[in-house]
Amino acid sequence: MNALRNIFQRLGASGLLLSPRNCPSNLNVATRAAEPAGSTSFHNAATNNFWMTSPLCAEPLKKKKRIDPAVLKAREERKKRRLEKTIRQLAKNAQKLKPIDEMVVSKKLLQEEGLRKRKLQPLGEEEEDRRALLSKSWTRYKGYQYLAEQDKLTTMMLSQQTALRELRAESEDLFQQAVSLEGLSLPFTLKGPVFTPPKPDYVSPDGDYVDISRKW
Amino acid sequence: MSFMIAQSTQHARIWIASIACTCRTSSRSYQTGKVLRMPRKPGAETAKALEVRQRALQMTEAQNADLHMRKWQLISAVCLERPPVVSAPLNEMERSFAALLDKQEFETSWLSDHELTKLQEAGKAKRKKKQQDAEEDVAQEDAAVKETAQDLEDKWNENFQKFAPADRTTEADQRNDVKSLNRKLDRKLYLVVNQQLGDAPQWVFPQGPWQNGESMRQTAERVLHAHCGETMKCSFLGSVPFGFCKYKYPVESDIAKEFYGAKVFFFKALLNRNSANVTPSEDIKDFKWATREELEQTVIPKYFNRIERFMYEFNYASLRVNETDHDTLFKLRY
Repeated sequence: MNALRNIFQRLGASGLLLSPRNCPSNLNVATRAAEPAGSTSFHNAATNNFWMTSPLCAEPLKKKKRIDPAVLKAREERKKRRLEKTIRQLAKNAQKLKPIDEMVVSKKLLQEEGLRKRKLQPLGEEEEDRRALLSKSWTRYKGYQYLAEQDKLTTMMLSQQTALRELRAESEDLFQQAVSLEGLSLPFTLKGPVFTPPKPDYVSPDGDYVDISRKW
Repeated sequence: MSFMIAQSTQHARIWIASIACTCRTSSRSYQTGKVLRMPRKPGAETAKALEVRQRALQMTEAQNADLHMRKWQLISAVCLERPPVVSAPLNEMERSFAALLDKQEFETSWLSDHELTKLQEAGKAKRKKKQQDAEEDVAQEDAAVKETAQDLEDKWNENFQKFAPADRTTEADQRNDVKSLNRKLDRKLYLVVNQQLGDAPQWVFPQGPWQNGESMRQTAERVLHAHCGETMKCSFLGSVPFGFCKYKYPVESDIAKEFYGAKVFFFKALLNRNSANVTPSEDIKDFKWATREELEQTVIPKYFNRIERFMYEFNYASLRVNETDHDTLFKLRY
C-alpha cells in the first residue's frame, strides 16, 4: 500500500492526477489521467486506479478587510465611554440608601393634600384650656408614678441587700453560690399582657402568606 | 421529703410572736448568746409566756450551755407569682388622656382612601338624584354598580360581629374561686399556702429547711415542688434571695434544742403560662392564689411587712384620680 501511495504521490506531483476538488471532502479520490487505451473515462476506469490523496488540513486565507484606523479608534473610544458610564452609574447607586417606605410620602398623597385634609370646626377656647390642663396633670401623674416606682425599686434593692448580708453571716459558701451567675436564665422573655385573654378553643382562619416586601 | 420538712419545722408554734423586728438587734443578741426574750411592755406578759420563761429559767447549766451553741435554721421560701394575663383597666386619669390622644390623632390625620371613596360616592349619589329628578329615564346605565364603600363597611362590620373575644372576667371570678389560676386576669397573683409549721398551720409562702450540699436556690426549687407538686412549671428569677425574715423557735419546743430560730430567705419565681395548678402535699392544708390586697388580709401583718418589700406591684387601676383632682396624685407614693 505504501509503495502504491509513493507512486501516486510522484504522479500527483507531476500533475498527472485529477484535481481532488470534485471528490468528497475527506476521501479524496483520484484517477490516473493517462491510462492504457479503453479506460480513459471516469466511469470505466479500473478499480485500482482509485486512490486516497493526502488530507488537506487548511484552507486558503480570506482576504483581510482593511478598516480605517480612525473608525477603529472611534469604536474603541465608544466602548471605553460606555464602560465609564456604567461605572459612574454603579458608583452613584452605591451611595443611594434603601428607602424606608413608611418615611416616604408618596407624591400622589402630597398632591391630594387639599382633598384629604379633614374639615373640622376650630376648637373653642374652653376646649383648648381643658386640653392644656389635662396634659399638665397627666405629666404630674406620670412624674409621681415614676417616683413611686423608683421608691419601690430602692426598697427592693435594700431588701435584697439585707437578705444577702444575713446569708453571708450564716455561710460564705451559700453567699457565693447565691451571687454566682450560674443558673441565671438570660435572656428572659415574658409575653403579654394583652387586652382580652386567649380563647382556648380558637382556630385561627387559614390564609396564604404573601411576602410583598421589595428586594434591594 | 415532706415528712422531713414537717419534722424540722415542728414546734414553731409561736413563731408569729417572735418575728424579729429589726435584724441587727436580734443578730447581736444571738452572737453574745443572750437569748432571753423580753416582753415588749412591762405587764404585757401573758400567763403562757410567763410559764415559758419560768421553764427556761429552770433549765440546768449544761442545757443552757448547749443553747448557746445553737444555730439559726436556714429556710428557703418561694414567692411564686402568676403574671397578669390581660392588661389592667385604665383609671379615670388614664381614660381621659387616652381619649384626648385619640381625638388629637383623628384631627391631625388625613382622609384615608376608603374615606375618600365614601365621600366621593356620596357626592355622586347626590348629583345623580338631582339629575334623576330632572329626567327620570336617563340614569339606568349605572344599574349594575360595583360594591360601594358603604357596602364594604357593612360587610366588614358583619364579619367583625361574628368574632366575640373572650371575657376579661372569668367564671372563676364569678365563683370567687381563690384556688383557680384563671382568676383576676389583670392582676399579679401570689401563691400563699396554709403550711404546717410546728403545731399550727400558718399562711405563708411555701417554705422548707435547707439541707447540706444544696444552694439556697436549689432548696427553694425542691421545697416548691415537694409542697406544691412536681408538675408545676415555673422559672426562678436568679439565685439571689429577694427578701429575708427571721423568727425564733419557742424555747420549750424540741427543735429549739438544735436551732435558735429560723432565717427565711425568699426567692421569686414566675409561673409559666402552661403550668399545672398546685397539687398540695400533706403539709399544705390549704392554698390561695391571692392578689396583693388579699395577701395582706391573709398573712399576719409582720410577715406582710417583710414580703411587701420585694413585691413590685402598683395597682394603678384602683387609683381614684381624675384630670381635675391634682392633689390625690400623691396617693401614688404609698
